Amino acid sequence: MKGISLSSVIQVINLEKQSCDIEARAGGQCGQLHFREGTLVDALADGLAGEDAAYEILGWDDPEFDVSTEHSPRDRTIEADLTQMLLEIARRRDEELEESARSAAAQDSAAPHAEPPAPPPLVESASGNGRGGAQAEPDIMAEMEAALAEVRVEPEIEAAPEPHGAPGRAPAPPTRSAPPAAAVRSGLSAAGLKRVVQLAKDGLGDALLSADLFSSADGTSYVGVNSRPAVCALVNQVTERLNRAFDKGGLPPLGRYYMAELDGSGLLLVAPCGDLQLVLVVDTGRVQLGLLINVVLPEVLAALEEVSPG
Amino acid sequence: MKVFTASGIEGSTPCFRRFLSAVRSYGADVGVLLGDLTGRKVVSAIRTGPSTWTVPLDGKVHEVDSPTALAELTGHISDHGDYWLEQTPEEYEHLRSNQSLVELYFKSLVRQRIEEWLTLADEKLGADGPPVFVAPGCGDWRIIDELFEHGGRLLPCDDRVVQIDGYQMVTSSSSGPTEWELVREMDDRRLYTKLLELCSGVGDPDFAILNLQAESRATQRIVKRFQPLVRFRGSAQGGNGGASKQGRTLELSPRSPMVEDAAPTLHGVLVQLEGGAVKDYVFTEA
Repeated sequence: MKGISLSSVIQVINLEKQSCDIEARAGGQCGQLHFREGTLVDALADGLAGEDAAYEILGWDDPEFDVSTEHSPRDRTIEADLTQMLLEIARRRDEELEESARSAAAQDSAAPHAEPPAPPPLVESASGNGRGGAQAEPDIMAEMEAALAEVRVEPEIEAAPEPHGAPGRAPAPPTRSAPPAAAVRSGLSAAGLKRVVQLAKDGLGDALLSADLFSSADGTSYVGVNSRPAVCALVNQVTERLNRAFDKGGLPPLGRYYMAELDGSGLLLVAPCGDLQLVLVVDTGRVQLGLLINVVLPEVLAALEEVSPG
Repeated sequence: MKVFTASGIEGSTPCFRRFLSAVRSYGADVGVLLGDLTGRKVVSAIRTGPSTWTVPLDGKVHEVDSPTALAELTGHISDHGDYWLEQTPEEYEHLRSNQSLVELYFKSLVRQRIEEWLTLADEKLGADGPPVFVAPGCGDWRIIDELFEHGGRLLPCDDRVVQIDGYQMVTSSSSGPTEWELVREMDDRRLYTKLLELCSGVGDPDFAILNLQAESRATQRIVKRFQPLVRFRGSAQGGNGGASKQGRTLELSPRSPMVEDAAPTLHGVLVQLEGGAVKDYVFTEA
């Protein structure tokens, strides 16, 4: 049985005063929990019995288990309250997590610190500063299409590449994203930048195909979900050109955001804010526009305005 | 004061996330989430091979041939508020003949999801966000009630009067008799007595909000007798909801989700109250 936790099951047994036996297995170990009218009365686990066995089983990570509602009378060997036992186990887990976090931090601080590597060369087809200029202009739509085609379906907030890898984290793929340190050097709050993208991710779930929060100065992405440096560079040019065109045409400059419907069910949403730009690629088949425009976007824009020095 | 109320999300985590976002985005001073909070069924994903599953769902049998496809299908099931369990064929057969075990697992999954929501609410609302109250619906099992009593960001309001910015909000998940024999239904006389006792704590009806989801003779009598400023109530499955007047009470009922809705949708209503009067209201959909 997968998809259900042992602790949820035993809490229901306890609340509903049910009688049943549970056989649990994890990492080659096995054990039994015996409930009578919702009370945990006895437990057995690899040479342990009673309360010790119960603590052992309840402390296993994600055990497999079977529940049997057929049960026979059982002597009571456990007097402790189940809720108290579960709280105690939660407390022990928290302690273990804190301890491992402390160990990781100690290892991290002991490692030699290096300067962040110089950013790799800019995307070939993008102009040198990401703002267009005298260089040959790329075929923006073709670039965009190619870049979007690479977008993965299940986004994860990308660890902005660290100067040295955090313990247990896979090395970041080569992108043109800047380390948070670069953002911090630019006077930006790394936590604030991450929050902007996290809000978009939380609000849109799997409808968010990619996101990048990048510098308008050079198209450098500070933080992203399925970060697409090529998209940053291209969008940077588009924004710049739109502003120039609007200016020439006597229109006010761009407001808080603009959108482009992409072929299929994609939507490109760009929010320029001071020296930053946020670009989101959204699958409109998975989210309603009303939610995007009225619920998620205001929240994201507010966070973006908070973090943008401009 | 702006109150954002939504109801009937029936286990859908995307709708719950939208509710949390909406409370902030709409600039609400208080959020109220009313039941039903829990989903309606558990779907079996029966493992037939190392990477194959059979999933009976809504009268069809889905043959799933990869973990990715299974994740997609179970994600769809969860998004729509239902629950799923991966089982071996033997476990599936065993469950088919053991309804008490099915119910135990169903209730455990229901609690598991509410626990996930509590964590999500704490994360998304933060310490400085507006207060958000929650009450189950008449179809929700009682095993979820105590989960809201542990001091998180979701505050319980069922069967009690809570004070909000000078207003009193009375909520009850109880209902009169229904054809579905719901968990929290009772005969009309008992319901009336219960609500009467609950509403006796109300001071000025101009500053009273009543959350009585289910419609019955008892609830109608209570509204008529106390005439609160506004009452939030549910609408029948597939109902369009809307606004109506009962005496001086404005009754607001957000639209109910449609069974055929392709994507889970959050229906709510944002009400602006000022000086003991309803200044404005708007129904929302997200």
